[in-house]
Amino acid sequence: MTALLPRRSARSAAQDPAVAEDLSELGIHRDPAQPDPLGTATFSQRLVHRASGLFNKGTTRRSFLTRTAVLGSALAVGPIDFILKPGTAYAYTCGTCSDGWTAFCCTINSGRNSCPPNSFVAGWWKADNAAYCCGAARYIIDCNATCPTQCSCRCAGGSCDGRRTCCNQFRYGQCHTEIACYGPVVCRVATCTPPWRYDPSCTTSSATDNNTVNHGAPCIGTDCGSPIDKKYKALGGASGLLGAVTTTERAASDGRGRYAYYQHGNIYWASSTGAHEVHGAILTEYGKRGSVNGRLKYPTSDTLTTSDKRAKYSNFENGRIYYRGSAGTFTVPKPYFTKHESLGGVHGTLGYPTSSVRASSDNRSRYQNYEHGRIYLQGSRVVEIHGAVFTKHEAVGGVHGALGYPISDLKPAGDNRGKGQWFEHGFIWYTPATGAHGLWGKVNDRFLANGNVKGYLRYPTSEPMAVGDGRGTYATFEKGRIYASTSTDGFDVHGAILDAYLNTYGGPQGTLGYPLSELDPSGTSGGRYQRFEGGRLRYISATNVQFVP
Amino acid sequence: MKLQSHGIETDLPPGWEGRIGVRQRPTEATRSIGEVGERPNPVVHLANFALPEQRGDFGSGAVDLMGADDVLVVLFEYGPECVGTALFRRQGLPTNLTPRMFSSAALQRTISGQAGCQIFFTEAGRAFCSYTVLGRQSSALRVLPQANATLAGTRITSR
Repeated sequence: MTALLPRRSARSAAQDPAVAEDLSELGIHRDPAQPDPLGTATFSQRLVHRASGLFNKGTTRRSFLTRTAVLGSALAVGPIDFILKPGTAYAYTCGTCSDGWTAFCCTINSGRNSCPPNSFVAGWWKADNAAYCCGAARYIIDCNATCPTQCSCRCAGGSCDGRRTCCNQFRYGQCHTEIACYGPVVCRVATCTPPWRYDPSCTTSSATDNNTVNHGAPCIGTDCGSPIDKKYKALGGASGLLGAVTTTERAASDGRGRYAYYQHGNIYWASSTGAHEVHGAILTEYGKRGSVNGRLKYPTSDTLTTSDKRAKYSNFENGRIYYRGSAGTFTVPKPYFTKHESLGGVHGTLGYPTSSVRASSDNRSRYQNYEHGRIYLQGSRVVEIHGAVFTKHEAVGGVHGALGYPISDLKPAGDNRGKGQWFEHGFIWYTPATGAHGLWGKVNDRFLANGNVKGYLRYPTSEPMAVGDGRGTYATFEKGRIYASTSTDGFDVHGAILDAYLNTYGGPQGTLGYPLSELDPSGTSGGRYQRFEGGRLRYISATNVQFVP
Repeated sequence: MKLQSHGIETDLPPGWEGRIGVRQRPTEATRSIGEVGERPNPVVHLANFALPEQRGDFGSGAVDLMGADDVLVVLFEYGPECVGTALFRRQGLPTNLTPRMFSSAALQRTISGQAGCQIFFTEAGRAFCSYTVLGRQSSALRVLPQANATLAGTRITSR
């Protein structure tokens, strides 16, 4: 959008006796349509202007404005003048506007550091050793109004705190010397580029004013040709994503990189990462994590959007921050990030993070929650747990329950059917048909000894359960059971033996009690027996089992 | 007292002081003061008040100190490429400043009560701007004769 200067109606000496005469033949080329504002002022207006100068010493601009407004109201004899000449009214009411200098163009030209329409590059000066130019010379280029002047004197931003625009009829004179007539300086361009390169009409005749070396505005940033500058400009400068500069570029305290702050975000740079912006909720989260001095270190990307459009994120040297609106903003630091990515990231097994990294209540681990699971960090061990296995683990007490911490990821069982995950004190086994079930204690020991899911019993269909006699536990499997007790190890009971054990002899609470052995393998000479506390069962066939005292 | 340098000579009236100088030309080793190729030209500061050491070429730093009867005259030279252009078409150093030439708006930086006048001219084949600042616009009739006398006592010769 092009910012147009406030337009003022054309006037001529013939129409208005207040218009100054043309003095161009004398070498005075200021626009004759711009009379001396005080040269045509009433006595009361002069008094207000004079008073503004007095009040200006030792008072704030706002308090001065308040007082001057009161004084002006009391003294102005011809208020109609102010109504007809609104720009001039600004000058009268505000006095010099701020410090009497002309505003920078970016404050009045939609953030652009360039001459607005109806003005031209008319001259320049420089200030030496400018921080804005990283120690090099800084150039200030005046944009004077073209004749006839189409703007009125006012304070930039409509506030007396703003610098003047279209007020000071001064010309440095090194540029466009083919144009004699000039209106007031509309605004100033600040640059580290020599003016004769900025505008070829400018000559190399230099003027110096080191008193202006630190003149700034929120929309003026450093211009060192640095990566941060380039990034800022690529993002649209003051009128772009980040808005105006609030803290000029400087070295980070880690001695490694640099940063600059803006209204709506920051840019960070390190030689190994390049310059990247961070803004919004991600920036807030980054700040909470210590920014470049924290765990994440420097950003390695600008803000990006996930392919499913559900989140925005920024990458950092040591992790990533996801922003999902009301769902929250969460950091996924390394090594959680590495594990998460290895599982397909947000589109993979775990989905989006749903919490920050937390410490477990037993202080043995740290963990982070995701939509479909969790990642645990214990020492250098990083383990994920997800889906039905995660749900089951939580159901049996999680890391504080019988299984304890996971010590492996969920892995295929090798039978092309199911999966298993190893925990400190047991396993959880899963197939879509059986669901997820955990095993621990003597039952688990037997199951593992018997070849786990590749053994006869296949997958568990329950966790170890109490028999109800205060002694024993058992778990069910696809093809049998394992029984154990406080005084006996775990043994599997299956097939016809199990049927007889349960249906004929009353199970562990019946006359046989708990098993004391596995069923003898087929082919055992003398027959196949399984011993119990109360006797033996002999396997003869799938329908014939005999009790042997 | 007479000042003479860079082809500019001026007779200072009693109570006036002045400087004629050229700033240091930037080199590869002095990027802090500008780019190679930049050309500082002679600048003349004449005043009926004490000039501060640190001054902008157009009087910044000095104008802040001006009292009601103070006047500052600046002669700022441009490069030879400016000679013959529209802005510098006037011939001759101005020596007859009048109050109507001044405006409270014709200042590099507006300071309440002050007024300025810029005249672009060519003299002896050299392009200049004369910039005169009055400490108080209402004192013009009283101080301009001094300024005119100072300008009349100034001569510019070809280089």
